[in-house]
Amino acid sequence: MRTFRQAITALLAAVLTAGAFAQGDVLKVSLSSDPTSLYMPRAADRTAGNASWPLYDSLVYLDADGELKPQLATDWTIGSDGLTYTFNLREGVTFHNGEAFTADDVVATWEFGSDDSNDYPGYYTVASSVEAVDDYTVRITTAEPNAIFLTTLSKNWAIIPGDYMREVGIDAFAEAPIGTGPFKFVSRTPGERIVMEANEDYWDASLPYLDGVEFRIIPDPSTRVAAVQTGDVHIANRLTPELAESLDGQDGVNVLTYLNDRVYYVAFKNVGAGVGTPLEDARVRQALNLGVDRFGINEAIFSGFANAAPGFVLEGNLGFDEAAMAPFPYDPQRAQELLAEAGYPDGFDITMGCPADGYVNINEVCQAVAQSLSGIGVNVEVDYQTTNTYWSEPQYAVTGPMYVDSWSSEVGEALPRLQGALIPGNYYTTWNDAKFESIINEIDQTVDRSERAALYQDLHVMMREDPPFIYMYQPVIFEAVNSAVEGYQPLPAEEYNLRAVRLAD
Amino acid sequence: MVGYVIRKVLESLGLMLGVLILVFFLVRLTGDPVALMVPKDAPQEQREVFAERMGLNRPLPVQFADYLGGVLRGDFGDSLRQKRPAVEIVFERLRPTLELALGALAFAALVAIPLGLAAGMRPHGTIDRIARGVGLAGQTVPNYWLGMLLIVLFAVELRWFPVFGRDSWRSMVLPAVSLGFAGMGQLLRLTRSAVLEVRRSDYLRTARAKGLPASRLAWMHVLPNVAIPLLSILGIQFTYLLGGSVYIESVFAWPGLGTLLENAIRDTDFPLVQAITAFIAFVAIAVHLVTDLLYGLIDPRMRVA
Repeated sequence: MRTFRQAITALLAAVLTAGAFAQGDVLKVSLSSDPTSLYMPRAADRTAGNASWPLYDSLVYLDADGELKPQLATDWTIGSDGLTYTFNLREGVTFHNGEAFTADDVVATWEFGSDDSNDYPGYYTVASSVEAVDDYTVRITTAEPNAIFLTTLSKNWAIIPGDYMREVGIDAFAEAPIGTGPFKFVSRTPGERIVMEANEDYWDASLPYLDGVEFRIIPDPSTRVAAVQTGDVHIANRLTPELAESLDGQDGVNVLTYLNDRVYYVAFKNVGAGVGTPLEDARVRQALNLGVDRFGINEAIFSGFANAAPGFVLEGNLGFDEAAMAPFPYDPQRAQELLAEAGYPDGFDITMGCPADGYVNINEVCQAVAQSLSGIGVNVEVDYQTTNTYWSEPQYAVTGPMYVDSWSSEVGEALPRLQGALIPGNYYTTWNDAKFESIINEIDQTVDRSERAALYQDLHVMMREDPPFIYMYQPVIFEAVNSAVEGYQPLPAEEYNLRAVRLAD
Repeated sequence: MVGYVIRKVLESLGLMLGVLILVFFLVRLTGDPVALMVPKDAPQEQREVFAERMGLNRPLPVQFADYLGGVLRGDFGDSLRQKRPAVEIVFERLRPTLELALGALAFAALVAIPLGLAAGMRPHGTIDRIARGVGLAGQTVPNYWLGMLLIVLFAVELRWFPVFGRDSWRSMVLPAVSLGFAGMGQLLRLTRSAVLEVRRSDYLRTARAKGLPASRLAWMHVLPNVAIPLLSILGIQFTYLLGGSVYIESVFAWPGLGTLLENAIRDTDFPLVQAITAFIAFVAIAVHLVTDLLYGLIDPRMRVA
């Protein structure tokens, strides 16, 4: 009888604590697809990165203002040659498996991250060596000065426990990932959910506020909205403007809007199909920028939920200056004058490639650009291509002298898209110009932020006078967030940032 | 009979080979994994390294031969994205899809057979009119739209069932109804017309003349006689449900093969797309083969056809 009563008591206790845990503050967050991996070097897309980061820390992090702040490193110095970074590491930090965090783990993070089996080891191999000076000092060397190295590190180098990784290998690690982050991995059900619980021993004793995080995979945006309405998830992203508007005035749901760090543009070519075309004249390219009604297009196609892009340096990017960086106005008269000056008073015919269905509403945008330009006498034939052929070869080899594309950035500055689209020889570079190349290389090697900001501003002026693109728009992002969620501040590249989130009663 | 079996098995194998070939080449028209998986600012040599490692830069016939050889050993290669065997991933997602297909089938059968029976027993009566309306709706309402409608009504407004997921039996209700609705319509119409057929038969007239009540007539004499064609229809529908659950799984965030396939196609994950489609094709072909063989067993005329 006594054992029976004990058993009942134990059972009751178990039920009660289970109930208490279930009622704890577990944040439920939707993901639009099943993450490819929870090991960062294999977490190929933004969704996978979003699901992985709560498990990890990096040495430094980029705050909402684009400033680098200490995380597992307490401070760091950069050598005068701009090549060596020496970090002092936080002491007394342990991984979720109890392993102590030391400089050796940074070395292991780099070694395993550089592994050829990962999707893009380039984020790690950018460092030519990583050495443990002592247990709490690590020195990283890059082969060339790299302005955004610390940012790249902060966005990709999720620090992993070296001993555990060496013991189990990457494949097994990805099944049961371990970091020093504010949340610990509990379980994963493929296609369904990822469960994490609070790391009680987190080095920043004030964090996390939540008892756990549960990611739910919901592919359909309408279903994500319904799930937020019923309170089944607290945060849903990747909503269409229509869905976001349907939530207007709903009790208990706030709609968060912010600008995506992504620019849509029409690129010109001065190689391949662009050789010998009117586009070689800068006045013509200015005219095309003035002749596209980007404001009207944003209104008609995106119900106003897109900003006219001033250039490649966007709002929120390092060096952005609102006063000095206004978008091209819509001025068809001035455009026609410029065309006449350049020797094309009656305009000309030209072909523009378009990645059919490659982006939201892109077919309509291509059509609207063509229609807009017909107003200044430029007859644009839109060459719609499947994204398969469009993006499978170096861009100079595909389609006509103009083509539509877009480029996002998660590092808080425009450098990656500038390099990708303007450094000769790169896959998506179709405009070769030595003056752009030299200033971009200079930015790439300038480690000082304020000097870099000034260079971005100089480059912006050059890219306005001699535009290699028609700058189009920057889309607005929508997220639906339950009103009980506090302290949630997503970063501009659709990055969830769940570290300091709490749930109100 | 042995000749018939051999012929049918060979036909099935040929069909399976056809599916494998078709999928292999079609999936390569959907996109380029290198462009999708390598970051946009990656230099050219990174792209080549990636293509090389994934074996994507070899000539297509070589890739295909390699693929077929693997399939014969039950190896569909590693998923490009998840870096583990595609077959392993398929098996993880199999159970939810089978559950949903069975649930949909159960819904279709439980609604369609009694209703079709009642309707067929009294043609042009009230029940028959309702049944014809339901049957028509089943065959015309798109399941994707129905799913959204059910979510808004029963999950968001009334809160009777969850919006999405696979947490308890209640999670199953809305997706099973949405998925099974079309099959229900078809089954209802077939049941009704089969019953109408049987009603005109002599043995039924005799039974009725004996003075048996209508309900007993329906259950004891009509149902067993319409059961065989209905069962074969159910078998075929099951294969449709397996392949046709992509939209419904996506709407209800059901963690099965459908959402996996959608993801894999979007990611141009060739090995995974091939493994999923081959698996679905295999099940469909196997069901048809078994049906054909059973027919041959029951009805000797089929063997020479």
